[in-house]
Amino acid sequence: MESFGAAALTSWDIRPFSLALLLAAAAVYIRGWLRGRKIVRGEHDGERLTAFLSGLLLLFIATESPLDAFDHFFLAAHMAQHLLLMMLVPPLLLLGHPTLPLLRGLPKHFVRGGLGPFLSWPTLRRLFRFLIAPPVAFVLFAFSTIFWHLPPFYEAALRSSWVHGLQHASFFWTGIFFWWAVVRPMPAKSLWPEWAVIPYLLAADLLNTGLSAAFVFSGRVLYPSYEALHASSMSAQDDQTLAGLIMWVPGSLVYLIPAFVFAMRLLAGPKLRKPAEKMVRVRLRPVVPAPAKTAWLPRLRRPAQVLMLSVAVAVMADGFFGTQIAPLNLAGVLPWIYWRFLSVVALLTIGNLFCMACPFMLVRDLGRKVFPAKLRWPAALRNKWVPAALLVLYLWLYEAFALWNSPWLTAWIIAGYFIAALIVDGVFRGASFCKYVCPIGQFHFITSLLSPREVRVRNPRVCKSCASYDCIRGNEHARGCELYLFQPKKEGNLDCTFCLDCVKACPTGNVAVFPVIPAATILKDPYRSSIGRLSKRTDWAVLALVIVFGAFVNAAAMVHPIMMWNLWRMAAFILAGAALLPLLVFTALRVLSSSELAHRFAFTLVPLGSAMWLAHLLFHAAGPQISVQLLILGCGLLFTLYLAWRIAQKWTTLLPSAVVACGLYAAGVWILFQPMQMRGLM
Amino acid sequence: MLLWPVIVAALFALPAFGDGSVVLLHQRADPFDVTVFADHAPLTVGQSNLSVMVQKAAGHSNVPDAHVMLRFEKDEGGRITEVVAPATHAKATNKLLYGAAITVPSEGNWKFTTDIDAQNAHITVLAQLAVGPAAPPMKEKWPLIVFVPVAIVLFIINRRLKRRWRPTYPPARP
Repeated sequence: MESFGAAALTSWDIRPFSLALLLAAAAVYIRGWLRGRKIVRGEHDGERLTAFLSGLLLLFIATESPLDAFDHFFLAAHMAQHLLLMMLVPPLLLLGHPTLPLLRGLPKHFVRGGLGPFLSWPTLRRLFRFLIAPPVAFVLFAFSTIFWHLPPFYEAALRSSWVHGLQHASFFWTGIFFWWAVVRPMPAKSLWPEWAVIPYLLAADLLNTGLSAAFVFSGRVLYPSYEALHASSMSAQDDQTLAGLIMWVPGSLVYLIPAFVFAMRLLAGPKLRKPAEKMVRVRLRPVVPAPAKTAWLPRLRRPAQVLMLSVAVAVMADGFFGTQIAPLNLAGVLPWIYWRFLSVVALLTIGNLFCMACPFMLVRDLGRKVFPAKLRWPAALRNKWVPAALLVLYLWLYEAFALWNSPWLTAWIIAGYFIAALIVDGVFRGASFCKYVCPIGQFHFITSLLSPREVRVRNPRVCKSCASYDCIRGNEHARGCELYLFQPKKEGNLDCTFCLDCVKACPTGNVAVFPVIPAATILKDPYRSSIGRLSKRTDWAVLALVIVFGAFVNAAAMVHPIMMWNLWRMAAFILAGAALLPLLVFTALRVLSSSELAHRFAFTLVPLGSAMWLAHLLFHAAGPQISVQLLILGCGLLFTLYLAWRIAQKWTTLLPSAVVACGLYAAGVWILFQPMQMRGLM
Repeated sequence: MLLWPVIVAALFALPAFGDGSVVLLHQRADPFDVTVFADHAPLTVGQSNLSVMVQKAAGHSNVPDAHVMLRFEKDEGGRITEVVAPATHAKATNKLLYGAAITVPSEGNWKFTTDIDAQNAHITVLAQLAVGPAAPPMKEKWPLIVFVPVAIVLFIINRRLKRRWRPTYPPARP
């Protein structure tokens, strides 16, 4: 480091989480601001946007810049930080008149259903009105300013990050309450006459001057920590004087300039006062939801399959012939570490992309040219019991044979997959392998309940007039749905491999990929094409529970206390956790609520299960991220509880499934806190 | 009207927290003054972030190009356990300091040594540090657990308010 100045300029402590929050606030405001301008345009819109974003920028500088890194060493830096938090950030944010833009920027349902009741809660409104009443706001502001500058409390803030946080939070919040009376952001009504702002600001300046003078003229160092550290050639006394001057001169200007502006406005008389802001109402156009532009998606499938096939061949080749040290082999790293993680991320953010690009189906399609595939899948096996059992088997094999540590076995599993897909779909019609056998496919079907995209019809009335049913029967352009999903009756992503054959086949272009609210389909129980009602499908419910409980069992098997168990104990654990426990829970839910509710509750656990899969796989893909993992798991639990509540509608009905969800969450937290075996990486 | 403080509260609660470093030791070892900070004190088993400030004893100007090495040593029944880490500017938030993340493996009294090479001088600062048992993980991560019950409580209040809330319409005109 060359000099003090260079050190001061480079000491940024940018915390990703804080930065993400600030950017989120800016994004919400800008979104709301843009939406607002579609309704009414005011002449100060640009100034408001600039003010709010400047406020956020100054907040960023106050909390993440060298000011923050140096606040323990120099009182002047700390004072500049406090000045920003109390005197500049709050008025700038308020000058952005943020209430309406922030409300408009958030999802409408959340604002109406989530925030609405709080916003109209009389107690909370009274409390807020009390806090922003000028006398109260002034007293709070003055108290906060004086209290935190008293040496014992200031020193406490230097010693403890929590007290320091409390100090900054109180500066910021009392600043907001204080400046509210001055800025009067829309749509708040002014509580006091305009002239009252002048003595209000002058009183604040008097307080500020008194405190600054104490720093400058006290003649002794008020905070011993700075003297003890003596972090530079500047003495602690000089540092304190500089801090006092920062507080005095720029601090006073912050109060005096607005006081002067208010005075000038009052002296100008009513005729010369600034006229009310001109607002231009923009003519509203009817909002028609735009269909997703996905015409290119079906064309993407083959190249994606070829790419995945190349990867699969490379993985198999490395598994068979490469080094058998798993972390140095593609077969030890790609399928077990990155592919599992990325496929879950894709499912939760886009859709069932892996099934869309499935390499096994490419080989099967080629095989179909040789094999006749004339038989129908046996009626007794047209359910999800076989893949559910295969999933439990996979969980056991994974631990028993340490598949993650054996590139050779991994290569055989992939090869076996190709052979199984060829045989099953070479003998039986449709995509029987995907629908009734493939455990990976089932995992994707269940998890895609949370996907934000769905293949569905654009306009149901168009389908009513359709006589050809190309989406399921196929035509000369494309085959119909091989999983027997009839689009007008299709609901959600269950059993949909995202192959987009229906999109290609529909002669009217009425089938497309649409954005949907994740998990919204769990709240409904209509008749679903090729599935029926989920409340009647025990196999589907148990499959969902196996995947949910499997997430916890799979992760638990890698943590220290359980990892040390012998083969038999481990097998018993996996069988009990991934098969018997789901069945037991399902039976208990049936006894405690009803058969229909038990079936539907099973699907509400999917967000929690997916959160556990994601949190666990994140550990393997990106190393220990305990904070993010806990956040993901917590969000999963909240989502699960919300879905269960929406279905139950009564707290008493909700109780059994809530107990199950909370139990799983507690188990998940315990698992995440244990030392976990890092697999596939050296 | 109440929305935005709620949002801003949620958004800005975290960045408001400072780093809160505490002074672990401060010694004069001519020709330098050495101050060692830790992210928490007393130290506990597990990872700790330590930072060192090296200043000239005369004038207190900072020494920018020092080589700083941190060492923890403990005699455990005749077997010496040693943990060593170089402290650098790159690992410190405040670039006046030399930072290092050190994992202390066990509790007890550790001999702590700070070796500094700078400006043709080599000094060693010695101290005995008591290292306490590892802090339970929940102690540090509790906000990430507590947000779940908080959200549930807010949801319950939301439902109650919704049930209580009845839209009020102005009286119909005759």
